[in-house]
Amino acid sequence: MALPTYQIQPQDITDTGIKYFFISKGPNDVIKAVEYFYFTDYNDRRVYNLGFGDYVIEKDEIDDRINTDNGDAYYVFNTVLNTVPAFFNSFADAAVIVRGSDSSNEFEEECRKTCKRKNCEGSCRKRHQRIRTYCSYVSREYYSLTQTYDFFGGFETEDGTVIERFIKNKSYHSVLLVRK
Amino acid sequence: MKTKEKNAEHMVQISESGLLSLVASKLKGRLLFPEKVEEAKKIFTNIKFSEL
Repeated sequence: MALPTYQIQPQDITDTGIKYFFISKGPNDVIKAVEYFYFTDYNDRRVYNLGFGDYVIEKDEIDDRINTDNGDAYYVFNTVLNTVPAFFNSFADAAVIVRGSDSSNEFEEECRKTCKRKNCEGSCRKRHQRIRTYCSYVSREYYSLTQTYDFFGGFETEDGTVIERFIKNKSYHSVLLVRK
Repeated sequence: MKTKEKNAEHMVQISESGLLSLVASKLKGRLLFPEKVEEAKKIFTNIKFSEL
């Protein structure tokens, strides 16, 4: 069954990556941007960062921390997922790293300033929420997705980031994927 | 209650694909998520692959 998605429009294709744009429809029309940007090489593969956010017309910039709440999160998520095969059609030998914009230390610091939950004393519950959504999706669709892609999960340690083959239902701070 | 009046003289209609192309042209050549890319670079300067 095809997932409900918005139509994506690829733009600005260069050696350093590609951008996709689409419009989220809800109480407001919101322009969304997805960017794959090349930043390093690893094991003979060019590694691209996947970034996703809203275009803010007034500021003429992208905001990846905003919670749009446009009532179409499922459509938007599916549309971002739809850019993955499209990206690999243009950059077959690439690797892509996905992290949530709520995975940084700064996010937790900001979140704690306005946090009303009493049970967040140990670790911030909102931190890593976005990457958890991606990890859940990969875990749920693991069999079908691994026909085409290899997945790796990354977690932060005191000595840096450790990457391992993706284990279903395990929490990660980042996900790395390559096309088989 | 009076609704807010808009001056249609200063408004233009544009198709969705036209709007996206316009935004794309404004953002052309720009790195959209510089902080995320910096964080990703940091991850890869100290990354270890764990074989299971």
